[in-house]
Amino acid sequence: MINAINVTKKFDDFTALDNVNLSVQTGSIFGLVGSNGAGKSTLMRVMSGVYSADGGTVTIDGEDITNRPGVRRNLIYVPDDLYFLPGSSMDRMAKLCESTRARFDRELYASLAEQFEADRKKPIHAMSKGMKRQAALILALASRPDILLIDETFDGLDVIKRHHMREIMVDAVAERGLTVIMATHSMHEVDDMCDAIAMLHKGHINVQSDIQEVTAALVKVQIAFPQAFDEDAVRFDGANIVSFRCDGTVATVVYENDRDLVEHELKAKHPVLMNLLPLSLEEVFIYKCQ
Amino acid sequence: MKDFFRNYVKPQPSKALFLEGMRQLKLPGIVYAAVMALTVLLVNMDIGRGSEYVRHYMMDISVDFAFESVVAIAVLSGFFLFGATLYLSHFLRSGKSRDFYGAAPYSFGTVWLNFAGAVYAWNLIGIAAGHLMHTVFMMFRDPKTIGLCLQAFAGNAAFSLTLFGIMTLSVTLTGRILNALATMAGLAALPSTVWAAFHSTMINFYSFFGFVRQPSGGHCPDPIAYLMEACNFMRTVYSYRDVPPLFEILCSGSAIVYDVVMGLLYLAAAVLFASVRTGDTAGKPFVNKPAHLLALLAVTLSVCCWIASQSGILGRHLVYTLSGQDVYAYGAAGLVLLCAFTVFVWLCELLFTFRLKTSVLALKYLPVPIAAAMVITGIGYLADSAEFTTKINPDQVVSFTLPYNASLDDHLAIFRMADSYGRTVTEDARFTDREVIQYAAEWINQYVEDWQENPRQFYHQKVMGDYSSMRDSYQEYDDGQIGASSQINIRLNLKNGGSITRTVLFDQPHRDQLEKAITGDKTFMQSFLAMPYAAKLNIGMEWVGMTEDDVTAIYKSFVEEYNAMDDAQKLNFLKQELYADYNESLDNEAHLPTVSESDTTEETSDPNQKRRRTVLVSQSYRKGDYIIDQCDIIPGNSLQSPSFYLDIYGYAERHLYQSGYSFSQIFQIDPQRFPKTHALVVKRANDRLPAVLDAIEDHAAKMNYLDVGAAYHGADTFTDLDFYYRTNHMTEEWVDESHEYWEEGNWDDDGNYVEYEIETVKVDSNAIVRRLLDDAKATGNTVDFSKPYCILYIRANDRNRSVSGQFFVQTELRYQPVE
Repeated sequence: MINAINVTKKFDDFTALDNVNLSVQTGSIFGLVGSNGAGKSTLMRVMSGVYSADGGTVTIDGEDITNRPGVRRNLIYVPDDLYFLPGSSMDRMAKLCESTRARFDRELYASLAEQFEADRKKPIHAMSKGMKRQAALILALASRPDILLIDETFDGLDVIKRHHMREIMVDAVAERGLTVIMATHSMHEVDDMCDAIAMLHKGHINVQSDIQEVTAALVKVQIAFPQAFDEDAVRFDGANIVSFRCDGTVATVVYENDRDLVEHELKAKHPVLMNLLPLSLEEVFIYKCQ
Repeated sequence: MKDFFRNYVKPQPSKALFLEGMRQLKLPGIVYAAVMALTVLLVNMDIGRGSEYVRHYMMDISVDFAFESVVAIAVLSGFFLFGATLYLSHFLRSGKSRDFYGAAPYSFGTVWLNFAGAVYAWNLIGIAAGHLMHTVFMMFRDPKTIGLCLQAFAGNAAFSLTLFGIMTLSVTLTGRILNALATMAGLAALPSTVWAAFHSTMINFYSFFGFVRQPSGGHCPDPIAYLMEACNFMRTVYSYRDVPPLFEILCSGSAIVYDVVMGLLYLAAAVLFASVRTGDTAGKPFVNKPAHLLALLAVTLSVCCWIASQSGILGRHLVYTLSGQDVYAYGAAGLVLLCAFTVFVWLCELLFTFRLKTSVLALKYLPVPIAAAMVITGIGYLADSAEFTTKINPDQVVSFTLPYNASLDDHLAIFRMADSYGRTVTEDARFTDREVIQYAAEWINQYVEDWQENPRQFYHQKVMGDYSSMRDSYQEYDDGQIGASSQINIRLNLKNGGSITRTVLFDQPHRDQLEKAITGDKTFMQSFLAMPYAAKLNIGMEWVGMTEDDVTAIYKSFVEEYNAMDDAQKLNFLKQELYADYNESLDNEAHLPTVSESDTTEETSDPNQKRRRTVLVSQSYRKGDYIIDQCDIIPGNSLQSPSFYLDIYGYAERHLYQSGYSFSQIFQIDPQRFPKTHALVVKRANDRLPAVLDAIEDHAAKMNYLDVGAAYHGADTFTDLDFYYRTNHMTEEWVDESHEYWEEGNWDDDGNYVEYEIETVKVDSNAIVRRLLDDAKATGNTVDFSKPYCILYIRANDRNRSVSGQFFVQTELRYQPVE
């Protein structure tokens, strides 16, 4: 389990993270989403030990990682901007990983490289963006981490490779309890893979829950009345309207309320039409970050 | 402080990381080692080509060998260290690699410690490759230099450690390569800055980065100053021209120790700073604002001072006679310096931050370094002024010392005696006689009065860079006498344990007075004249084939004779210097003769002659061995074994040394290479001694001393001076200048031109020596100069001093051809 407790990070006068609390269960895939500049990468770096938090702590299985590099011996961080030794091939990077990671598995590395048809001898700088990311992910997985932090997980990978990589990750989670935290802009990925997510916005976490709960937190209703109406017409006691869009006599309203409550209250207003629409994670994110 | 160590993680050695660092530098490291070996090979081959010419003159180039490689290796090592350090420290500057290494289960300090170890390991491999190549070369050329090669390796390894320490600390403190470069320059110059600030604030910029003679100005203890000098990076480049001092500076024991200590300190600081660095600071200067400014101050003060010292624009005033060393003061030019300093500080701030706005804001801090410079200057000026204007009370003086300084030939200036003797005192000469002390105190006090009256008279306008020529001008050659206005250091040792050292101008009246006072110091003279000095003697250059018994017998007779003299006779004996040529022969200092820089003629076709200069080899007897070996001394007759040196042609050598060639060298010299002036000499030399002696006997009436062969005194009496000029002008008499070379004859009294019969005859040179010695014993010290006599020159050395002297030997030397 990895926890970020009241983590604050500042860069000069700018507060990148403000009392962020995050808890990721072992053997889960956690999605970290947020707008640009929300602080996802900063949080990833703090959790991986690259940055030191100005406030709060990060613990791995209860152990504080502050000034204790050994605690993160089984944590791998794959940033969005990848690092490779100049002129190196995958095999050379494998040696580097072997030097820095005690658990690096040569056989697993070879197997993964074969599965993804990766050219291990080819200079990495000559590879495409997707191939570079593929190489980084292979090296990361071959290190057999307990915790894998990935920033922009499948950026550049084609559909097939994404699918395959996803399968490998999920298998690792299921088989040996790998914990994955993925920072991404792709809600589709999060929806597909993640058990839980957190939404980061301007250094704060707006939402942190499992996927179902996140999507269930908002209720989207399409409602129509015989005459034109405004927001007040669909308001009720305790209503928390996140979004209201009206087009003549039909409106789409998003509530941050209990679904049953919304349904009950709106029925009482005798609309001509009322449909409870499913919300995608992307929509939840958009509404939360507005 | 607590905040500084907030992120501290103790660095740990890691085999895996170290090997990874070695792997990352594998290709550049191998290339470096190969380039190093190749470069050293080429350097040695180049010396080898020159050395054949040099060897022809039996000059010792062993030190040159070692020196050339040392410099080449040091320079290459510096380049490799620079590149490798920057390469492996990328995680301190680059966000990408920061992410990789930052997330690894190692602290930055641990990564840096092990990577730094890899950099230095490859550096050592490269240095070892270079020195191995050099050693192999020397094994074939001169096996006795193997010890020097090992010493050079140790010196380079230590020096590179200091360089490496500076580089690692610089990259650890800074965020960009340019910042790192500026910091490196500042750190390299920082020891000298600190030393200069405390030593003498009549801002001695020359010694700041250049030569520092043994400082004795009273502000800084000599050992510390010497150590500072040893580690002065800039001196490495600046002092390139001087061969032996640089070798000693880089590779002497104290230099090695100092470099290792400084290097480890720098590295420790670098690892410490890396241990408290976090990934946040990648690409940024790792200092807070006060530390940033402190670093800026140190860097700019150092570098700006260096720029000023190198600038020929700023007038530099030589202040002599007042301090234990030459000092240079800036008058109005100091203001220019401060202005330049100000601009430089601003530029450095711009470099550090790349932000114009911040740089402009940084101007508000400039009063700090300006004030610091003024305070430093002011304090020193006041201190120096106080010291320079304080008269000395002789009652407070315990003793008077003439500090030994090999490069200044101080004793030569004082003891107007046999030059070889004057030079052979290799330690401080200390006098306790009150008269001597009184004299020295009065001498200095006179200067104090002169200074108070008009300080400007002590200033000498000189543009930077003329130092070497200005230096030479002190040792003027005046009609064959020692320099009329020599400059020496004198030191008065006080009762309170302190000392006062001054550099004084040493003219004839002072010399006479001082010598008179010194020779009255019984204690000093007793030890000074004591004989025998030791069992270790020097080797005869020309007379090979002497047996151990011969050597012992000669030495014993010499000692007996000397010991039988009273002090006055001894002193007189030692003062029998007929030709005051300070550019002289082999002495305790092994002052090897070469062509002096000023002594070139248009006939000289060899460009090497113009560049060669006297190589002063210090009291390393290993080097003495090399010299002697180069001179074809018989094996085994080294300074470690009893032997004897006979230079029957002592005067000849001196004359020839004036031109830069020793008689012994002439034997093997191609006469084509020599100026016309000495053509006759060369020819005679090449024709071997017997033929010369023949010619001498035939024309004895017309010659006094020849500059080759045994010196015969003919019927005519000539003064030494006459002879000197005579031989120098021999071409006027003996050589038909219409010919390119010499005439092989001379005009007799009847106006007939008589050609010399030149033939090569084998001669028993040992017999000649024995004959001379027998005659010397028979003659005693009584010589009738109207009759043929010879000058027998004898020298005895031990590790600390040597003594030599000339015997006038009544003899009519005849050679006996060997059947």
